[in-house]
Amino acid sequence: MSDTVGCTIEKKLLPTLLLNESKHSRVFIPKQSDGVTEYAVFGKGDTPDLEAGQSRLSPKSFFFPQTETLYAFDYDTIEPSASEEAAEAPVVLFAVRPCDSASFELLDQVFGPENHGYHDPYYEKKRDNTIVVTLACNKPGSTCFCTSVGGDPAGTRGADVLAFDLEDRLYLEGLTTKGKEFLARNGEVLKEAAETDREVANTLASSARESMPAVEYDRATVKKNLDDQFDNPIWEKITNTCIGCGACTYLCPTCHCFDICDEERHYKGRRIRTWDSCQYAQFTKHASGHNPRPTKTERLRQRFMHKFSYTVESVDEVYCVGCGRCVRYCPVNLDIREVLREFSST
Amino acid sequence: MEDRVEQTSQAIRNEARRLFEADEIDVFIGFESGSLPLSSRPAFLTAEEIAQDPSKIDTLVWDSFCTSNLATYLLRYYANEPNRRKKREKPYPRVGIAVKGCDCRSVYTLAKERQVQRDSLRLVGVPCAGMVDVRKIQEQCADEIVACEEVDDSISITLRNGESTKIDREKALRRSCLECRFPKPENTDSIIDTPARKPGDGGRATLEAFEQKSSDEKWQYFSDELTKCIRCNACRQACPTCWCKECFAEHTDLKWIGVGSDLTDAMVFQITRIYHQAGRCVECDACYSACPMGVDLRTYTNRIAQDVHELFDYLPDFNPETSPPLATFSEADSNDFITDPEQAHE
Amino acid sequence: MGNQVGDVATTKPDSTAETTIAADDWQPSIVAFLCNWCSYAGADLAGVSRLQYGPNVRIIRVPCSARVDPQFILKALQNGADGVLVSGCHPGDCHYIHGNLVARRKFAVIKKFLEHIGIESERVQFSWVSASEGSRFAALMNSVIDGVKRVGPSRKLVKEL
Repeated sequence: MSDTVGCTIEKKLLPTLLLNESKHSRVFIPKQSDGVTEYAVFGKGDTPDLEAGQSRLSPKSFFFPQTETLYAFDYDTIEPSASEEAAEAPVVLFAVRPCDSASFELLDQVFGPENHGYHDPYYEKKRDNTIVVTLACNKPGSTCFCTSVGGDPAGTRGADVLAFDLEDRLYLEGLTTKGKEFLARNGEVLKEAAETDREVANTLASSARESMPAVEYDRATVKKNLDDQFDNPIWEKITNTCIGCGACTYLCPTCHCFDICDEERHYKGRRIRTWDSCQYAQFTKHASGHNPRPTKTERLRQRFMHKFSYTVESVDEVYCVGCGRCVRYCPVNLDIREVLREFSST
Repeated sequence: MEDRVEQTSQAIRNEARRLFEADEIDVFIGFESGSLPLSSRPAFLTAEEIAQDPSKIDTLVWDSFCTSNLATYLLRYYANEPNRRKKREKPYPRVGIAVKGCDCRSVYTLAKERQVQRDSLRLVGVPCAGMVDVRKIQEQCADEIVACEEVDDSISITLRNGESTKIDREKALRRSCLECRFPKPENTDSIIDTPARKPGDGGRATLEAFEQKSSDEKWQYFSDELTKCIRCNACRQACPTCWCKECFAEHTDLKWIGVGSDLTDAMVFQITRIYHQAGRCVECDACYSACPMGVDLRTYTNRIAQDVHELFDYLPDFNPETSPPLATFSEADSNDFITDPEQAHE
Repeated sequence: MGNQVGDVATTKPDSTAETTIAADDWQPSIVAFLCNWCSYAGADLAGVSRLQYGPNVRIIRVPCSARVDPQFILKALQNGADGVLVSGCHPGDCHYIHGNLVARRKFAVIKKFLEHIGIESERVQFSWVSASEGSRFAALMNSVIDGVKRVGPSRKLVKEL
């Protein structure tokens, strides 16, 4: 497949590798507490929970935090924010799932240099300083559908290093310069991989791929149908159960709408960027009071149009990586896969 | 004897069919099976649909996963929608709705607040055997749940790894259901013949245990819970009595709270939201069930309901005549909490 | 003097170990919502009668205690007030007949609820003071200040900017 020489690491040596890294980087590993998986800072004595599966919240917040101070100000000065300085420190994101690392590439199109030369220094700095170690999924979840939207349980998009879990050890492959450097500097705990390791990894990946149910989704058809049926009353029907919360958008790894506002008190304050959600009544509400999306029908439609039509048109990408978080955590089980099916037929 | 789930579902279908046939309703709101195991979701059947395809009625189900409070969905039929003329041209639609004890109490609360028209509703009461807390089931399962079947008082679960277990329904019920005072709806237009569970103590025992904590311990618990909050507003949206056209959290000209992920903002949001439910919250736990992060809201909604009960001897029940307690007053109300400097100095 | 009462921001001691702060070193800032017709006039009377009470209180005049939305209280706490007092006319004496009776219900609920989440009961207080009770007002202020001093600087619910 690739000419890269892979390497392996015994699982019991993982903490050593991560400890080495943590000497100069902030290392984040998956951890489980109260049944919720999250990425937590690696500390001495920790081991990454590789069985933990997908994190509840997507790791997009490492680059695009829910609240980010752009700068702080007082009556006569403007200071760079603390988060900007913190972004200078290198970060290792360990065991990110392929769907989530693919989402980083999609976010790059919005905040990164690909976006018509527009630069978002806050995002870019963090992105540049981060090494993404992606862990291929051996056991995709029941709500996962990455293969249907162009992803793969062993996908390399957005990853610097791709890792496969081979029970007692990990098989690692450096994909980018950053990733190769990462492997090179940790050579002492790594072993050169045997030819069979890559084969085992491939077998695991294809069995994972096959275990995933196919969601009926054809990019061009869905886009056309969405565009054609903008005013179709079907939207009202789909919206029936929607309660208009923002859980889907806040858990989504690719949703990237944001709002900027000032918080101030006693002649000082800060300008913050926060997540916004198309599901909220205030979303794109005009200063005049007019709202182009007055009810949740228009707002829900916006979510699907944005992901499967507008972005296909503007950057030729579908803004869904098939992680299934919105399927799993929607309070009323409004299933994105069913909506796609609805718009797949003509 | 026939299984309880099937029997109840069938009875609801029959009642819905009767209402449609007698031309008493334009739309029926119940539950249908969701796309995931352990989920049932709100279903909307219109008279038109049923006229075309009477078999659609058979999609209605009633099992232990009907956690949403359907009263939430009534508001839209009576609301004046934004950007539309205020004057109503058509009469209110006639809505049939399957209600648990809590849903029914919400309907009466909303009717008192003039948010729904009781005359245009056909309440189909379903005596409630309690609804399941999906998290409690997931805790007992080592792997992902891929299928489930409910028969009488046990839920059979099939896991991804092929194993299957049986779970005692009673042990997986939501706390609010275990402690529910009003499992059997009253003042409905018709009632399904199925047993309701025995009324509980309203959470008195749990609250008394919680009261043993010191101020700082209580604060710690509250902080720990609210740290999980991602401000997705699912709690607010799932709540039938959160019907403000514009939530205080969304006021922009008078900014009550910040929109970011600041912990105190999340706290103030939740305190105010729950405080606004005083005398209106029916403790249906729709907010808790909707929360994608599993924040324990029950402890607080339960408290406010209990406080109102103790202070003003009021519980939102099935009586359409009583006044909401915070919309009225009595000269005999307690003055105990008032600081009296003369007493304080004695 | 570093402990200007008026500025919430500068009265915050750096140390979180409240027990080490002697009562004299730290002065709480207390926000008082007083109704125009009784309590505010009571404060006025305390002033013209030259009654002494702690200088920690910042008064906000409201038309009636019923005007005080519990959100005002939360906002004050979030903005760093160490204590909040709401005071209106005695029950039965409300200028608007029964505004304070409606308010009493709200206050009873929010006070209990704040205690339930772990805000000390001294932090948020309610009282009734009439226009003729200047001395009661002074005593009330001292009692509220003492209470807040007992529980120390507010740390819970304060939003750091």
